[in-house]
Amino acid sequence: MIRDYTYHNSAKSQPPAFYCFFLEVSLKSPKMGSRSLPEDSPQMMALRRKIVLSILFICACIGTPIWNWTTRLYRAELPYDQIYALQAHALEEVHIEIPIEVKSSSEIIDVTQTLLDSRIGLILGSQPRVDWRIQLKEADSVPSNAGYLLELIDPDDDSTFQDVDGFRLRLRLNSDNDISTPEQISDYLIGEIFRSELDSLKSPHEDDLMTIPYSSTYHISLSLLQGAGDIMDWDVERCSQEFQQYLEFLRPIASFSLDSQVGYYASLSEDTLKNIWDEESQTYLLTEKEMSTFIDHSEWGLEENTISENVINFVVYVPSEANSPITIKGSNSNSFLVPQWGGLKIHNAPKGLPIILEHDTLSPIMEIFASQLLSLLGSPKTPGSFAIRIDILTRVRTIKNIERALNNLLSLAKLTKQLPTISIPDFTLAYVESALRSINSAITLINSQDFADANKLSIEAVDQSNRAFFEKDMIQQMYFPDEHKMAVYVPLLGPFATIIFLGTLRIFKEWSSMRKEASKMASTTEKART
Amino acid sequence: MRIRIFWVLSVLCACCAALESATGGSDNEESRHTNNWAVLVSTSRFWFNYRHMANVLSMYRTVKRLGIPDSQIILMLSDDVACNPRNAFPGSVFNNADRAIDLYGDNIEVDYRGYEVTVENFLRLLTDRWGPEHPRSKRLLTDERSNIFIYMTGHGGDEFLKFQDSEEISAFDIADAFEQMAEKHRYNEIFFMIDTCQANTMYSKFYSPNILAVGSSELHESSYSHHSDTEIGVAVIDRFTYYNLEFLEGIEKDSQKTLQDLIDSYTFEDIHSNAGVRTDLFGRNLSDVLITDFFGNVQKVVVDNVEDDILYFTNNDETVKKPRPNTNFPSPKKNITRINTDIGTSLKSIQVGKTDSKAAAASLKAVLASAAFLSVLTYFWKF
Repeated sequence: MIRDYTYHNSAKSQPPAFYCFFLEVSLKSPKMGSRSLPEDSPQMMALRRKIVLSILFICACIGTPIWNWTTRLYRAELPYDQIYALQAHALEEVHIEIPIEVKSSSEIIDVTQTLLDSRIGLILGSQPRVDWRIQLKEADSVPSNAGYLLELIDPDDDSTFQDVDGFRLRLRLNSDNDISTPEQISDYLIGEIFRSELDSLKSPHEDDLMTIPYSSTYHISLSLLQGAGDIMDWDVERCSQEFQQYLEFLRPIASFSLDSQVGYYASLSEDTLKNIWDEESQTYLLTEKEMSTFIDHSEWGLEENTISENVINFVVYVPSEANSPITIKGSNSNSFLVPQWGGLKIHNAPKGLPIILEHDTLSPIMEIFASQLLSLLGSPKTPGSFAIRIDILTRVRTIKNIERALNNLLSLAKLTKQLPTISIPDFTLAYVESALRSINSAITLINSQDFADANKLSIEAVDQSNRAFFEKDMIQQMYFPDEHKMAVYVPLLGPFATIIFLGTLRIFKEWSSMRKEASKMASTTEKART
Repeated sequence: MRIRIFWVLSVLCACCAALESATGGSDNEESRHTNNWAVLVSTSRFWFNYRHMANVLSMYRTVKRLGIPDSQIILMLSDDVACNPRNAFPGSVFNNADRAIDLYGDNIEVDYRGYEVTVENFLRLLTDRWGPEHPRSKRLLTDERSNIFIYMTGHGGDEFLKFQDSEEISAFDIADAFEQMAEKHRYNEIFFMIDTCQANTMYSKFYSPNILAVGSSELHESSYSHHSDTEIGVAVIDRFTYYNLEFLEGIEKDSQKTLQDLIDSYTFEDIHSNAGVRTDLFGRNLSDVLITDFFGNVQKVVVDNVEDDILYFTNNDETVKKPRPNTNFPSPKKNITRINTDIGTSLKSIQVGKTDSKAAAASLKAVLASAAFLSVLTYFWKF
C-alpha cells in the first residue's frame, strides 16, 4: 500500500520507463499472492510453451557446445606406445660394426676375430647396452683410403714410424713368443685404440662435469682482455682462420661459429691477488681457490653475447703491469679450464712494451684453446690420432643423442599424462613423430656403418624432441580453485538459469493441469453419455 | 641361545649398514652444480609497494656481488619506482632510511619490467616455453647442473600470490612448473624463497625433488614491512628480506657459511612472523649446503691437461684430411633430405590450419560478444 501511495504521489513527475515496470510488478504482486494465476488464453500458453522450449533448445544445442568448444583444451594424441616401445628397445637394435683392414694372412685374421669377439663380449657383459664389434678384413693389395687400416710391422724392422697416422694404424709385433700375434692385435685394438669407446659404452650415459651441455650448434667467443688500458693488438685474423680449419674437423659433432673481441680495464677484484705473492718464483701464484673466482662475470663484458646458441668462451688475459706476472699453480701452459664454460689463458706480457700478440705468440695460445675445446666436447684422451678420436666421439655422441632424444620423449609422455590440464598442440605431435622417424633412421644408418650421417640424424632427433617438449603453445592451464570457478559462473549463469528453470517449471505445471482438465472433461462427457 | 646370536648378528648388520649409508652420505656432501642462476620477482605494482621493488633489488645486488653474471640473473620488476614522479630521489631506490646504498645503481639489467611481469611470463620462464623470437637474455637456460635461486615478493594469501593487482599465481601452478623442470632435467637444486603474507602456503604444494623452500610467514599470518623513510613517504623494505640481507651482507665469495646458519638467524623477534623452512624434498643436509651454492657462482676449475699440436695437425698434416671412413654409403643422403622436407611441409600445413582455426574462433567470439551486447541493449531499451 505504501508503494501504491508513492506511485500516485510521484505521478506528476513521470518516472523513467523501467521504473514503471518495477512498480507495476510490485503493484500486481499482492494480487498474485492472494489469488491464483490469471487465466491465460490457450494461444498465449502455446506461445509461452514455444518460447521456453526454443530457449531450452538453443541452450542445449548451441550454447552448451559453444561453451564446451571455447573452454576445451586441445590435446593431440601422442604416440605413447611407440615412444615406450622405442625407449625400451631402441638400443637393442643398434649394431655398431667397425671394419678394419689388416695386412696379414687370413688365418691370423680369423683367429684374431674370434679372440676379439670373445674379449669384447667379456668387457661389455652378457647384456650389452649396445652391440659393438670390430670386423677384421684382409686388406686388398691396393688399400682403400676410406677406413681403418692396420699394418703389422715385423719385429726385425728397425725403421722408425709413426704409431698412428690418421686411420692408419701400425703395430710393431713383439718378438717374444709367449704372446701370439692375434693376442697382440686384440690387446692393441681393445686396450689402446678403442678403449675409451668401450669405456663409455659400458657405463650408462652420464655426462661428466666438464662436458658442455649438448647442443647442435655452438658459438665460440675469443676474447683478449687486459687489466689496464695500454696499447694492445693481436693477430687474430690469421689465427682464427687456422682455428676455423680445425673446427671444420669437428663438424661431424656440431657446427661452430666464431667471433673475437678485445676488452680493456678488465680489472681483477682486490681480494684475488691478496696474500699470494710467491717469493721463490717472483710471481702471483694462483691456486684453485683464487681461480674459481678469477673471472669477473659482471664487469668483464664476457656475457654480452646476444647470439642464441650455446657460447663457449676462450679468454686471453693480460694482467696489468702492477699485477703481473701471474702464474697458475700446476699448469705448464698457464691456463685453466672452467667446466661447461670455456678456458682462460694468462699471458704475462713483457713490461714496458706495447702488448702485441703476433702470430708466433698467439698460435701456441690457440693450440691450448683447441685442446680445451676437445675436452669441453667430451673427447677421449686416447688414442693419439686426432681423426680416430673424432671418429670415436662421433659414435659415442650418436648413441648419447639417441638416448637423450628418447629421454626427452619419455619425459614428455610422462608429463602429459601427469598433468591433465596441459594442452598438446599439433606441433608437438609433429615434432614427436619426426623425432621418432629420425631416431629410427639414425639407427638404420649406424647399422650400415654410416656414422657421420647417423650422428647428423641423431642431432636432429634431439632438436626435434626438444622442440616438442618446449613447444610454445604447450602451456598448462592455470590452476583455479573451485571457489573461483563458482565466483565466475554464478553471476553469469545464475539469473539466466533461474529464469529458464522457473519458465520450464511453469509450462510443466500448465501442461499437467491441462492434462488433468482434459481427463476431467473426458470423464464428464463419458458420464453425460452414460 | 641361537636366537640371541641371531639378534646380535642382525643388530651388527644394521649398524654396519647405517655406518655405510652415513659415510655414503658424506661423500655426496659437495654440490654437483656447475652453474648458478637466480630468478628474482617482484609482483606488485604502484608506488605504495615501493618496498617490494626494494626487496628484489636488494637480492639482485647480493647475488651479483657474490658473482652470478647478469646473463644468469632474471630480474622481474613489476613497477618502475625509481622513475615514479612521487619519488623524492629520482632514479634511485633505497632499501634503508639511511640511504647508504642506491640499489638502482649504475649497472642494472631488468629482464621483465612493468606489465611484462605476468603469471604467464613467469611460468613460461620456468618451463622455457617461448617462441623463437624470444631473446636469449630473457630465458632461463638452465641444465641438470644448475642451481637456481628463486626469490618472490608481493602481496599474497593462502596458496596464492598476486601479480600486478590483476591476476594471481597459485601454489599448484608453481609446483607443476617445478615438476616440468624436474622432468626435463632443468635444475640440480632449487632454493625457493618467498616474502609475502601467508608465504609458507606457497611452497606447501611442491612435490618435485631437490627443492629447498623458505617463506616469511605461516598460514593466516601477515608479513610486515621493516621501516619507513619519512622523505620517501613509504615503507622501504620488508622485515624478512631485511634480516636475510643483513646476514647475506656478511658473506663473501669464498665464505664457508651454510644455509643452516642463515635459517638459524631467523627469529620471531626480528621478523614478527614465523618463518618456515621445507626440507623434505631436499637431498642434502642444510649444514652441508654453502650459502654460495645458491647465492654465488663459485666455479670449479681444471688445470693443465693441454695437449699440443692439434691445431698444427689439422692445418698442416695431410693424413688427417682424409675422408672419413665409409662415406661412400649409397642412399642415406637422399633419405635424409626426404625426411626433412616431410617435416617441413607437415609443420607448415599445421601452421596454416592452426592460424585459420584461431582466426575463425576469434571472429566467432567477436560475433557472439556483439550479439550478447546487442541483446542486452534491446532488453533495456524495451523497458
